[in-house]
Amino acid sequence: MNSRALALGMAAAAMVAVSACNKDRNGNSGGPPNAQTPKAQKAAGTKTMAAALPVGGRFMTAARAAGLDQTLAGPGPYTVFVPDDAAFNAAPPGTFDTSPQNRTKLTGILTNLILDGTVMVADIDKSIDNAKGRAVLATV
Amino acid sequence: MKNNGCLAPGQAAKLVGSPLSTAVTIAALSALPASVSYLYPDTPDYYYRYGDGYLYQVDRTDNLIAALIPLIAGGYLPGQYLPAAYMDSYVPDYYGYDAFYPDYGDVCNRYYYGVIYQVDCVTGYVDNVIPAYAGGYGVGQILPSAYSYYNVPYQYRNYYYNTADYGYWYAPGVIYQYDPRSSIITSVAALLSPGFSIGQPLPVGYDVYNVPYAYRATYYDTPTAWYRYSNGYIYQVDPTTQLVTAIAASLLT
Repeated sequence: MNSRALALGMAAAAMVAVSACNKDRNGNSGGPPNAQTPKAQKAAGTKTMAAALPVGGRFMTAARAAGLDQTLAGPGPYTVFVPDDAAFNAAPPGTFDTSPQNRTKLTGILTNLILDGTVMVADIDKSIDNAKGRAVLATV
Repeated sequence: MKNNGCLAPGQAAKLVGSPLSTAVTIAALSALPASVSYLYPDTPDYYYRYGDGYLYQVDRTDNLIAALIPLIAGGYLPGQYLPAAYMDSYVPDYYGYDAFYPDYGDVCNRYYYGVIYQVDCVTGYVDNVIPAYAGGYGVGQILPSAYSYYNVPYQYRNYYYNTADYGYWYAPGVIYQYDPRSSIITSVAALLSPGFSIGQPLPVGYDVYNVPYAYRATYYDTPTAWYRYSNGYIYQVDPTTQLVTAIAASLLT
């Protein structure tokens, strides 16, 4: 478990908290097989993290490079801070480089955006209030 | 089909045994990057080609791809010797790695740059190279032969069971899916958190309520009991002492 103090500047990220199963990736040429068994897919349901995110979007592209796209197609539950394109563009060059040589760095960045369980905005607000303006969130 | 930089591990493995001339029509192969070329010098028997993050050993006699080699940054391969300085680089306790990879007999586990090296304690001879997910080296790597048994934690076995097409393997923090024919890790099926023990203090970062939506009507925070989710379980926490007091529910079994 990593704990990171997530700044309130995370407003640049859309928070997605759904359980997951990605049917779009099945059978795509060049992509990995679906890592989820039929039982896991059934448990994940149809409103999945992967299904909620654009397949060709920058976040899913990065997740795929790190092997995490299939994680987001599973039962979870996880909560993910998904940077928008402006955040991707503002990151230092190479931060979200999807080449295999950058997999270590990319994996670290992405897993620090994924929380254990289901965390709603109101839950974070309450935590910030309790801690007098600061919230520390456990990431996977 | 020319690859566009996203060759799947299973496809990469299928190139083993193929003529190099065929492989280059599928994957863009080139000389090794300078960062790793010193690790894989050409020999009278073999030379190496690199593409899409994969390293291929090519037999000079017939130009067939002889092997797919795990490409681990700055790494050492089975059959090499770990430098003496790395023998003091112990497996960290993060995520319970040290308990999962203990030393035993003449076998020592050492850790460097996201990789666990299983070595001879005396000579440093590398017997096995184990990618640690925290280092980002899981997907695309070959499952260590010594760890190819089914070891998925009990509460996840109902979801991640081996089939004829896919196998699942647990390592701290992650359940991998691998191809049983090539033993190449193809995906991260699930990310796991360490979970809690009864009586332990609530870890930092879990003061935020995180119970899955379907269980919130039952397990909600009160002045006398908090509920937190981790690793497939909902735990009860004493708000005063901040100690984990009970497992309230198992969501997977």
